[in-house]
Amino acid sequence: MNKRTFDTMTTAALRDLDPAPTTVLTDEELERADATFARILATPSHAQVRAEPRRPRRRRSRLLVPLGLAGAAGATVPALLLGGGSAFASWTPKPEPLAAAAVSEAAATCRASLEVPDQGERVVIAERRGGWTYVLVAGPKSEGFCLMRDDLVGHQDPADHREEGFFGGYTTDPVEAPTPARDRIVETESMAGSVPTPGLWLLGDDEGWFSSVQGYVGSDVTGVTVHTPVGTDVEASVANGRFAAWWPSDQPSSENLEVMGAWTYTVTLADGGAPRTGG
Amino acid sequence: MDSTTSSRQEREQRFREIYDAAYVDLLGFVRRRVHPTHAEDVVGDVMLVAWRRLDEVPADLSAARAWLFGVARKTLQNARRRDNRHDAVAVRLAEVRHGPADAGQHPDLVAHRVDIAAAWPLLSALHQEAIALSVLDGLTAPEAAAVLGISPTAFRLRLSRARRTLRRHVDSTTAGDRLPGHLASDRSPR
Repeated sequence: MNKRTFDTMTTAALRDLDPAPTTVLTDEELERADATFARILATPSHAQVRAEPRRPRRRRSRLLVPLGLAGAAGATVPALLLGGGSAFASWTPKPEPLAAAAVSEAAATCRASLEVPDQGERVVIAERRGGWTYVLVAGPKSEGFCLMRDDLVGHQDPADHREEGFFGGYTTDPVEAPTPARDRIVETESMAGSVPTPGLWLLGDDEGWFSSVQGYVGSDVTGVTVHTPVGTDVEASVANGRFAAWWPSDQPSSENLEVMGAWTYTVTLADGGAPRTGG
Repeated sequence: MDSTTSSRQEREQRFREIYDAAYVDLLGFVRRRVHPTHAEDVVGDVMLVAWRRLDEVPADLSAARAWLFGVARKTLQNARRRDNRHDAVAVRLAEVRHGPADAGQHPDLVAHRVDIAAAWPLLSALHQEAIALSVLDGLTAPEAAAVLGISPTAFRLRLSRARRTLRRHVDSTTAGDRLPGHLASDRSPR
């Protein structure tokens, strides 16, 4: 057999032996393909990151009526127990403020990653929890926030952030600033999201799921504690009349309803009196 | 409204195009490399990556398909033990089946199929992969090279070595040790 004949026959033989000869999908396969498609669209993509709101996506000026009791937020709870996978192993319930230089760097990275023009937003919240930096920037016409791994801060090429360790959201229609009573807070945004983490590509295995909240504080409020449905207390960052917090969570699903449960707040007031609950 | 709302629709539409155009081929690609019961899950994972990284997916649908194959290959590598991560991904062939369909085929082709099936497992995963990408997955040399992350020239070289090795295995397994009549009885319709 000459080489050409051999190759031709080999090609024919291999195609006969193909374990997956090209076919059309069966009805069942088609149905599963459609279901997978729908499931994928329900997850956030990088350019459209505000997916999976667990509550109405935006609640304008709705006063909260928190139920939680005052509690110390000091206990360190390993993030692994909280969910979120190993991505957030370094997470801390108490935020660290960023140095001024780090603040502007984080804001610049956030803006570059979201690929949004500078519209005069200023940084209202910037904090670090373990190896993760969170920054909230707000202006009259726009608002955005980013959660990113510390080592991504300072890398302003958006392509650097596409794959892993970055989550951001941006809107040109921010919630109109509410005016909470001096000892109250108003939550304006809450969401669940996930950060793709490096190495493993398989669905669900290595998504760092987290929950985040943002809102406004009254003039006397100096501290906000979130009592999360996963059982830990999270100290929010409070600055510039705003508060924000995030915590490792799990992928919301029918199998872990607890992560979709409600959270409550406790506020601390400037007069030094006992922390009081209530929005 | 969010600035992303209008582009969300465009993204969905583009993703739908890729999904519809490549799903069957991607499923085939994966089925050649994993147990069939896992194939759809892997395809789902790969498509999720495509959705996440839609901006990186080539505009041309054929190139997009090759891109998806590359992601699938990485997914399969990553799903294995860490120390084997960078190995080639072996390709399986179907069992040789003898049936009425053989009757209409040239006996040499039927015999050759048996030979190929016997020689295939002797090939390294690297060589199986090169041949499968070209013959079964239907990729051009540049596309196959992209899947493997090597240059088209390197791929052509690998493919030609793989074909030579396959031929050597076929020649050595069929040299004189086949009993006369063995194939004749094997290929009779049942």
